Amino acid sequence: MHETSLLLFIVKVVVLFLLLLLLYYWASPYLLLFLAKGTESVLIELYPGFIESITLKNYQFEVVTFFEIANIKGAQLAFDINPLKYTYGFPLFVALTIASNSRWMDKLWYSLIAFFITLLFQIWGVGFDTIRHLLFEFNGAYAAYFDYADFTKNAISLASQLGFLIFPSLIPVILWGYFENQYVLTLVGVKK
Amino acid sequence: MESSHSDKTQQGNYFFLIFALLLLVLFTLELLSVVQTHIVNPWTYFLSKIGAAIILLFDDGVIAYQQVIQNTETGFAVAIAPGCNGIEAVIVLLAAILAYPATIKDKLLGISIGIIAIQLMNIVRIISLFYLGQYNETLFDWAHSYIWQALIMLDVLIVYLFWLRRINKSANA
Repeated sequence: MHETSLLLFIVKVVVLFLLLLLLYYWASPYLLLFLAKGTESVLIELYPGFIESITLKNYQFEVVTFFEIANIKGAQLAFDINPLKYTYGFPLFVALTIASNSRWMDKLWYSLIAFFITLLFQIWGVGFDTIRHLLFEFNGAYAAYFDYADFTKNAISLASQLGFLIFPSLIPVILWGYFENQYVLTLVGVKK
Repeated sequence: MESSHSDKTQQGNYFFLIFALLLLVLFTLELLSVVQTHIVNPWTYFLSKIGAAIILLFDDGVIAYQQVIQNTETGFAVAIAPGCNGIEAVIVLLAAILAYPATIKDKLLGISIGIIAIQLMNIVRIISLFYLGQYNETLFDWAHSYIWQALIMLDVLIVYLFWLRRINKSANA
């Protein structure tokens, strides 16, 4: 396979990614329900009494907590998180897979498996972002409820950064490399 | 045949383990305040200066200070935040190249060319976002939060695949 094939592959991936991202955005009111429910379940399990619900409203997650806003009696603290920042990787995976040379049935299976694997990392991203909000935002008003040592706070900050900066774009590429390893070998010239 | 297959699987697992470990170590190092102060922030300021210098070639009325590029006429400004300075992408490439069994010379070559390729692409990202932000806020948000994030990772992938191809070529020669 020549260098031009590698470049052609990348051009295909970029065009497909842009189209699939639009498609994903259009379908996100349905697709993001898995992420909202998954993150809500994990956070309620790990922090009972902290998080009341995570719901999807106008393409944003609304996180409602049990914390009361200071000086406003009865007002619950709520904030928004943009879930698409954590989920654009799935269309990227599908673009990489469609541009590869596996059978269509395999592409379908890989995409289905990748949807659920990336979902775990998305739950990581949104989950740690929620905790980061409560620990470090709102002038630290809610940090005391967690009673975390500095090391734990730093670990949460690191996990949150990983979930936002690295996982959304890297995990799809790793999954693609794993599922389409024979095609990768042709791209790097090991296989003809 | 069977042992060769299991050898390859073991090599693959070994590569992935080293890659993941390096990624975690390098990313943790990046977040240390001493690294932020002496490497990340100066690099980010330098990037904004380079971005502004390139923009000035065809568009006067732009200034750069710290990590900010600003249009002096409209007041519109973009700040290069963590995640927009290309350092995370460099870390991913670095971890992938270091984890792969190759000669030091090949690794150094891959890292040097890779850093240049990623940072060139990143300057294109910064300049494009500076103009997109002045043109349309929604487009800016999409380009900033989703599209460029994926494109930079694809840039890392291209550099890595080309590097692997070169390694294999020289191994077969």
